[in-house]
Amino acid sequence: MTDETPNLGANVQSYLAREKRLRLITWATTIFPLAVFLTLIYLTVRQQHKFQNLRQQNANLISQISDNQKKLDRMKADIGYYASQLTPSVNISFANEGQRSKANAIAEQLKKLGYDVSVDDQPMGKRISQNTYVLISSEKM
Amino acid sequence: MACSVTHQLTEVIDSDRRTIMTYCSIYPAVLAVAVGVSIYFHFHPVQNEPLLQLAGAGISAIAFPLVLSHVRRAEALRMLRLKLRQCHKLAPTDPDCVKIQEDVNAIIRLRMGVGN
Repeated sequence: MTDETPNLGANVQSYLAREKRLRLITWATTIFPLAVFLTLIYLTVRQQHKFQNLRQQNANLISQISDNQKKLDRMKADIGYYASQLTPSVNISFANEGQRSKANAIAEQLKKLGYDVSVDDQPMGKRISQNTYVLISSEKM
Repeated sequence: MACSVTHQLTEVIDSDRRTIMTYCSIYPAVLAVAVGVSIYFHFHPVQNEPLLQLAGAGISAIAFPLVLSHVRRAEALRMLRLKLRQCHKLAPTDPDCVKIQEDVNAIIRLRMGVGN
């Protein structure tokens, strides 16, 4: 017994030191993964919030594009409607009485094309030439 | 007068108590983090992913290996306390003291991973 007691005492001291070390290691090995886990969760959540913001911005932009497309379509429809309400109008003047029949013939052709045509009652009184027709076009509602 | 091994036995018991206290101090920390993460994901879900609420359970898994060690150490502590009580009752010259000393020695060597 007396031989074993100092040996046991040394063993116990060594054991106690080892246990103390193990307690520290236990703490570290538990808290370290916990800290890593928390850090990963924090980083993941932060990235997710960034992605959510980007997705929200993307959705807003798509909504704006859609709204603008609708406005554009409405404007096109309005322009089409107003354009359909316009009638092209042509007024034909001629230089002298000899050109009246030719002016009337042109007026007939233009009427067939949907133009609102009017021929002057009186000639403009200019000398006869090949190019004395004066066409004044305008548009009215 | 108690057995001569009483002092060493007391130190081992004290060490075991400290170890168990270490485990007991880790549990609340792990639990607090697990509950905190679960509550956070409950009230701030990411992409409506319900499984993230279970992240707390994943964190709790860190403490599971400690529970096994805790149970083993608590059982050993109970046994060592019984031996200490016996030591207090025995005289230093009692043959049972030698047996208790051998038992304590065996326990220490076993824990230190030293073969017989």
